[in-house]
Amino acid sequence: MEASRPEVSVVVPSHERGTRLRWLLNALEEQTLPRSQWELVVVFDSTDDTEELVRTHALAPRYVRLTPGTGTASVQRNAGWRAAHAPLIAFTDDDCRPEPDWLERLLDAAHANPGAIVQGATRPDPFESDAMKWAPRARSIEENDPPGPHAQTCNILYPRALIESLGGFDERAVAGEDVDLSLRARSAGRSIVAAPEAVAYHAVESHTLPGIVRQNLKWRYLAYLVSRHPEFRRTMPLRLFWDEEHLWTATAMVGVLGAVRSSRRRGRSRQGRVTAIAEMPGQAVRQAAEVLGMAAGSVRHRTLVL
Amino acid sequence: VTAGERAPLRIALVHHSSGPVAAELLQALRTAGHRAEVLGARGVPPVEKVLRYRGFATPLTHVPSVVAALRRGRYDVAHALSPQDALAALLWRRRGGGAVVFSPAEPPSRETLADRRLSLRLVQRALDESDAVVALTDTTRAATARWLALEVPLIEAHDAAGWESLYRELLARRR
Repeated sequence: MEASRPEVSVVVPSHERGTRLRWLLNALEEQTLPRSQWELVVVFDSTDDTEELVRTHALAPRYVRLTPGTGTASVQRNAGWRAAHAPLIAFTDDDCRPEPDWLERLLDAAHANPGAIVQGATRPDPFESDAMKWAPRARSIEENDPPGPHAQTCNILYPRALIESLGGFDERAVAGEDVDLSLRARSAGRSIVAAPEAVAYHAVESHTLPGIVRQNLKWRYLAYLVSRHPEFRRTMPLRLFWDEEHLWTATAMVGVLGAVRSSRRRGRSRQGRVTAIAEMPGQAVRQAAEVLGMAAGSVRHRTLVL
Repeated sequence: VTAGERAPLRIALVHHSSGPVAAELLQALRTAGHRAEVLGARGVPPVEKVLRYRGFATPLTHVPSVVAALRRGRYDVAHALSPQDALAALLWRRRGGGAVVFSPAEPPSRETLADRRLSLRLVQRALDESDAVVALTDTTRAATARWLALEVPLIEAHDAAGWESLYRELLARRR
C-alpha cells in the first residue's frame, strides 16, 4: 500500500548553525499537528556537524546536502520544496523556534483560504530578550502584524503549485528572495493572508561592529529586488529609503555635513578646527531649533519653508 | 602503573559560585588524596554589575584573576563548572597550563543557552575546546544531548575514582 502523502512539508535551509538548527528540530518535535500529516526537509551546505545532527535527530528529517558554500538561501529553499512531497510548503529558518501549534495554525489558515499564501507572526525570541534589549548591535525579525510587505520566509506557507508556477525562488537574488517571490505571487493575483496565531520566534544575534558591517553588505543586493519590482517602492518611505531608520540616518548625515560646513568659519588652523569640533553639538541643536521654528511657522502661515 | 601515575593530582575546580556540586566534587577528590581547590570569583566588582546591566553573560571579571591563580598554582587539571569558568581554564591551557575538563553545574536549557550576550559563544567554545566534556548528573547528560547534540559521559561528583581515571587519561594524552 502506498504511504499516505503528508499535508504539509516544512522546508528549512541551514548554513553553519548546527546548534540553532538542533533547537529548531526540538521545537518542531513538539508540534501539535500529528507527525503523519507533515514532513520535514532540511537543506544545508554547512561544514560543521549538521549532517550528523540531522541524521540522528528523533524527527528523522529528510535532508539535502549541498556542496559547502554553494547554497544561498534561495538555492537551498528551491532544493527543499523540490524535494518535498506535500501540496503545501511551510518555510522556516534554522534560527527560529516555532510555537507548538505553529504548523496546525498555518494549516488551518491554508484550509480556510485555498490557494492563498499564509504568513504567520514572527517575534524576537523571548528567551533572548536580554540580548535584544541590551546588545547595541542586536538583530532579530519582528512581524507582529502579518501580512507584511517583506513576506519573510521564516514563517510563511505557500501552495507548492504556486511556487512551481512561479519557477521557485530567484537564485540570482542573494537577499530579498522572499520578498521577490511574494511580489511575483501578488502579481499573479494571489493574496497573502494572515495567521497571527501561528507564531515563530526568531533568534537574536548580537554582532561585533566589524561583523555587522560585513553582514550588512549583503543588503546591497536589495537594489536588484527593487529594480525588478519598481512597485515595491510604494512600501518604502519617500519611495526611496528601505525603512524609516535609513531615512533618519540619511537625514542625520546631512545634518552632520551641514554642521561641518558651518564650522568652517573658524578657519583651518588647528585651534580653529578644535573649536569647531567642540561647537558641533551646539551647532546641531541650533540648526535643529531653526528648522523646527520654521516648520512651526510653515504650519501657521500655511506655506512650507524650511 | 608508575610512581608518577600514582602521585596525587593537583586539581583546580574553577567555579564562580560556591554551589553544592563544587563542594561535593572537592570533598570527593580530597578524600581520594588529591590536592584540590576551588578557584572562583571574589565579590562582585562594580564592572561586573555594568556588564550584567549591559546584558552580558556574567560573571566575566573573575576570568583574569582565575587565569593568574591557575598559573600560580601549577595545577595538572582545571575542571570548569560553567562556560565562563571554562573560558578562564582554556586561556590558562593556552599559556602552558594542563588539561581542561568542562562539566556544567547546571543542565543546559533552551531558556538559558542564548539568553545573554556571549552566552552561546562561551558554551560552544567550552564544548569545542575542552579536553573532555563530562556530565555530573543524568539530567545534565540528557539536556546536553537534547540541546547541544552532544553525547557526553557521566561521572557523578562523588565518584573520585572515575574522575581520577579521566584526569590521568587526559594528562597521558597531553604528554
